[in-house]
Amino acid sequence: MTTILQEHLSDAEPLLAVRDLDVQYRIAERDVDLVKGVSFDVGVGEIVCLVGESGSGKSLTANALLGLLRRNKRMTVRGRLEFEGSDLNTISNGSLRKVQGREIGMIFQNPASALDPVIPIGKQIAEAVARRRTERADIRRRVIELVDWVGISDPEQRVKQFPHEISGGMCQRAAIAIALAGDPKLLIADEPTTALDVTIQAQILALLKQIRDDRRMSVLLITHDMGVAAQTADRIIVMYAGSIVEAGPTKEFFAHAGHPYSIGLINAVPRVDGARARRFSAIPGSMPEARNRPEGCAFHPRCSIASDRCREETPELRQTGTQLTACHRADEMLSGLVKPWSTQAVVPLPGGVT
Amino acid sequence: MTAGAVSGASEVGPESASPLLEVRHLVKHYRLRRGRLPAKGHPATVIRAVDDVTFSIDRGKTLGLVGESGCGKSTLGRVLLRLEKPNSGEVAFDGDEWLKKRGNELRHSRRNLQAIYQDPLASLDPRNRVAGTISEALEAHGLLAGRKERRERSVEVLESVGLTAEIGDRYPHELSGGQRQRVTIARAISVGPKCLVCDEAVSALDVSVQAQVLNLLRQLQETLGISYLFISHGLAAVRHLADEIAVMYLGRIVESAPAEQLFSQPAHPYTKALLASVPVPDPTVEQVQGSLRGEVPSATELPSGCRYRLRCPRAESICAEVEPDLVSSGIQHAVACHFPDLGHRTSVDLLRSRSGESSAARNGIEERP
Repeated sequence: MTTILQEHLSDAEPLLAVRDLDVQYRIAERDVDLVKGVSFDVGVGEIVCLVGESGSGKSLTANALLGLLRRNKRMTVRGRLEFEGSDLNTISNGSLRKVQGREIGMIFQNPASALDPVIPIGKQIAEAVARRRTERADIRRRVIELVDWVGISDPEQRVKQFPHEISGGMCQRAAIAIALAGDPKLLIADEPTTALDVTIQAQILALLKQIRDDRRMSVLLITHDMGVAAQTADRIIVMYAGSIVEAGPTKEFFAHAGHPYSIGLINAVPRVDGARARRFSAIPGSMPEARNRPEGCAFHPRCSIASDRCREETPELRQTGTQLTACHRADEMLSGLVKPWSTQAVVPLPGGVT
Repeated sequence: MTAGAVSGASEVGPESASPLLEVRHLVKHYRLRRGRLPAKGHPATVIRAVDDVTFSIDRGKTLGLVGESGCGKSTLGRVLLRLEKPNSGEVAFDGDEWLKKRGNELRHSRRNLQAIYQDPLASLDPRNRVAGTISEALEAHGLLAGRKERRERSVEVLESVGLTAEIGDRYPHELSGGQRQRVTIARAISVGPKCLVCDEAVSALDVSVQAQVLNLLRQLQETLGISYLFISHGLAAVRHLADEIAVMYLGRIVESAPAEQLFSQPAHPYTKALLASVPVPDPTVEQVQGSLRGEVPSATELPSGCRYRLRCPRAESICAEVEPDLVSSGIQHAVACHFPDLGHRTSVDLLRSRSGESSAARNGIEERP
């Protein structure tokens, strides 16, 4: 599996190579697989999107990368996490701390809870800057530079403000400034715009792209919104129930998505363009709990085209056209023989946009 | 409650001629005072959260109310729910003067207007089982006297929102986000409301679950004939549910139109910017990301003239001087802008790919600074 992936992966030289990542959780004397056999690369200067619903294991994958699961005694992380010549899964805690926040920065969904409520944002950014610089004037200059870079207007004034005095969008920009303080090579962004207005979301996504362009920084963006992924990513990785079910370059992925789950996620996004649909194309049911994942393909109970084989045999990730798909019926779908979710047709309304 | 009882909406009968909810010139200002003592000579700062808003919702119909954080859309919802006292304005609900109701009369009428909010975990009692939570709502409104009847009714509404009776024995923390939101919907409809205020009801849910909940709301509307005031910061979710959409900016409605018309012919630059900021799940559609500059300015220091002019690419000197009124610009279409776009450029054109399908429209985007 790993070999196919390597052939397939981006043209960019890899900065991060995740191989056969497993995360297990010990509960009632039993090990439950939360993440299983996840392998992917993030190239230099590339934006890779991990897409999936809550419980798909996308955030756990990111947390495992940063060693955030180490302290949890019930969690076991296996696999190789190669980053700049070292394996993040096996390096010492001391070496890991040098990577956290410096080589790899991270931002989270809720910026207000990622910031300290009783410290002005400028000071919080300065704390992050001080890990690399010592001179006060130098730190101050760098803080203003960062604040300006992430698009916070009136930096001199803003740095004195507390998180509760500024909007959610500004908090997220401050959190990004902190993540960028160490000049990281990789930025992990876990649902960075989910808590924000769509207008501010558009601004933050534009900012992430601009940062990537400025510094050739790599971004691992985690989202449940295929709209965000389509507009931001170079490559898409779809996760379901702890495993990768489909991966490919963005354009090809959206043109030839070969997994019913991917197609379901794309269809579920309410659109402002095109015809108005009478019904939303929802994926029925919900993500199974890690403890009782179904036999065979984990997605089969929710899938509209599941066959007997899907109920018995777990599909492997394999090359289908331009991407990798873990679905027994991917070939049939790509050749147009079967179509998932076809019952939920889009009915244009009279007077609507055609 | 069963599928097939689609006639519910039309059963409303003769009353249906007048709108269910009519809001006229509603104003809600908050006075803000810094420090404990009123400063002499300094008038208290005023936040104009809702500033002269007028709209109506017909029976069995949905009004989508859209705007960014801080535009006053939630305050408006709270005023309608009688959780906040407005400064002025009138609200007619189901033929009555809604704001004049007091005491018992108000309490008895409250069941007609129910609410669902963004975070279902916060609006459910963590120590009460789901069935208990629903029974409590029925009890609070004095609807069903017997414990058994209430229990039966809670099972009935749980089933009508697509949950099983067995969910009734669970606690909120044992449910998924989508299931929790279904429970709050079940609780809201259990008392037989005529109108639901849905304040960001799907914003906290995964996209796939959002679709399920929106479908449920639509289906409930078809079977029960409830009206919705659907408040959201995003236009996309509103589009498929709403019959009419009102776009709000800093306390004012800046554009209102039938849903499809708003999408096909957005006239206000703010509406256009909102449309352009919704990410489209198609990478060949090239979007001008971050096209809307800056954030909503503070509601305490409103700009002179048009409230939107500081972020508007088309603003001219008149915009700083005169505040535009909400005027009709077509059938049921109203816009508050000195330079509305009344052409026939559609939202599709605004977003169309660079593959050359609509180069004129594309140029239209690029012409604007």
